[in-house]
Amino acid sequence: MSGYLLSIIGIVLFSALLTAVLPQGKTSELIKSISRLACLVAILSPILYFFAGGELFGNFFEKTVIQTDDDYIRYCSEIRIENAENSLENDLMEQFALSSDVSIQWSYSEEERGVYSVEQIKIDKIFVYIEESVADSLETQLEHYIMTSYQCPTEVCRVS
Amino acid sequence: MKRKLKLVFSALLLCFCLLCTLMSDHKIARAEEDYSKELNESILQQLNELDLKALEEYLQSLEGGTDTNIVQRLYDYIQGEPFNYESFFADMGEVLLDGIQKLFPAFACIAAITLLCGILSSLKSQYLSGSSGQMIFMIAYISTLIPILSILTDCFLSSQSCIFSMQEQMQIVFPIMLTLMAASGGTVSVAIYQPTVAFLCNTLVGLISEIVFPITLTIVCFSIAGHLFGEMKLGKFTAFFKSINKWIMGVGVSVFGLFFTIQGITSATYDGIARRAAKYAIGTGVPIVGGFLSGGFDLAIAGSMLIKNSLGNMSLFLLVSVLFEPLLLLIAVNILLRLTAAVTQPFGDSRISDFLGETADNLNYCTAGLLFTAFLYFVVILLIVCSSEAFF
Repeated sequence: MSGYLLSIIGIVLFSALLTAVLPQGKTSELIKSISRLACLVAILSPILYFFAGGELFGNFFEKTVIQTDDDYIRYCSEIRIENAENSLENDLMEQFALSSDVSIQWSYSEEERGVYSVEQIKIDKIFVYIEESVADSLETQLEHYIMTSYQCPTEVCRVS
Repeated sequence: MKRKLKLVFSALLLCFCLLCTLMSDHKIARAEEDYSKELNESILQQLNELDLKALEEYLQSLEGGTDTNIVQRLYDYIQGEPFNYESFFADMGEVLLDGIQKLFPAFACIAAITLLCGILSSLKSQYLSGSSGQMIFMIAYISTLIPILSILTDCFLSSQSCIFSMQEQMQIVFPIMLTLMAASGGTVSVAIYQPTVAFLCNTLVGLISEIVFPITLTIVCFSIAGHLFGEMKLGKFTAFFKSINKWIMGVGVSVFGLFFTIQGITSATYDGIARRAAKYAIGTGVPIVGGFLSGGFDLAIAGSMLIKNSLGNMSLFLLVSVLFEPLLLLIAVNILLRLTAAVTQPFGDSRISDFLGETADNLNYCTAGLLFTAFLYFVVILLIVCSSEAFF
């Protein structure tokens, strides 16, 4: 585009100079007409080029890709999972007066939202670590509670 | 006796109620303080984790190599650094007057040459032949062109450099803001904004720097040639190129500005609804299963949103700082061109004063190009910052 406009500017200024410098006469009229025709052809050249099968805009619409920082997103996801683990530990303490360690196994999954495909955190399984001395009935209650409340596969593990 | 007992009992009850209120207020204040402390810690951790190197380098290049702690600056914006409007407008006025003062001698020279040419032209019919008069006009015109071309070159280069600086800012700031948006749960919004922002950074900015500015230069050259040589009939071509500029900027601002706004609002609303639905849904696993945090306060999301908003705030300051000087230069040159044209019209050569007036009109396309880019940049920052409200 810049080349095209610079060529027009050059031709117009040259023909303007020619118009001023040439002495009066029949030849000068002819030269002036030719210079004006040259200006016209220069200005209309993209249209002629387009009809001859050329490409007008080329790679003008080439897009730069805007990338997000995946490491930071992963870091935030890990913080949220950590908060979720602490939240569940507090919940179990409130419901069952039980001290436990919760570990959440998670991954990213593709989800369709309309025409867009987005990555979301998906919780695959919840591991609850309890003491050996806890009763079996309580363990069953724990599993049932988490499955009912959160519809998530759960595994209760005993640790000494 | 009974009365006394009743009085004592009432007094004791009142004291007890007062004590309870004070204690609960104290507890609430402590709880709020704890949350605030936790949130600030979370924000600082996230700021240290975020990749802000490119932004820091850009800030250093703007501020002339001074040491910039970008993390501290963003944290200060989150804490609510007050903005001094009075000093901002005072600075703007100072820069504008300074610009006018620097350009004044050049325009005084142009006015003097134009008036001299006007005086000599009035003598033409009595003492000078037609061709000598024409020669005087050409010399006067070319003499006025020299300072004008130097000023116009400054204006074009300054505008071009401002556009490229804004483009560089967009390419640095938008990836960080979209990362923060994705981290705070705006996944659909990010999917929508990514191509939008890329289109703005590349195509729309390219339209201004590679089409509008060169066309404006062409219009100025046609104006110079047309006024110098009256036989050169370029008025309609000039009008054609002017209409191209107007259509590009008019369509750009109205269609894309409107399109971005509607897209941005709907995507943020969609994310907000999805987030609320996920809080109460069971088994979706998106973003966190069921009611894990339905009653709680998600520090990570809140921190990301606050950092995003503070970055948006900083970006607006950066935008104004790069737009400031070129815009004020263009305004100063416009004012002085019109003033000179007004002063020289009654007594000077009308061709030169018409040329000055036309140049002031043509320079408005440069101003419009800068404001077009700045406006769309501002709209996208605003949409990204305001999308946080819809998530809750």
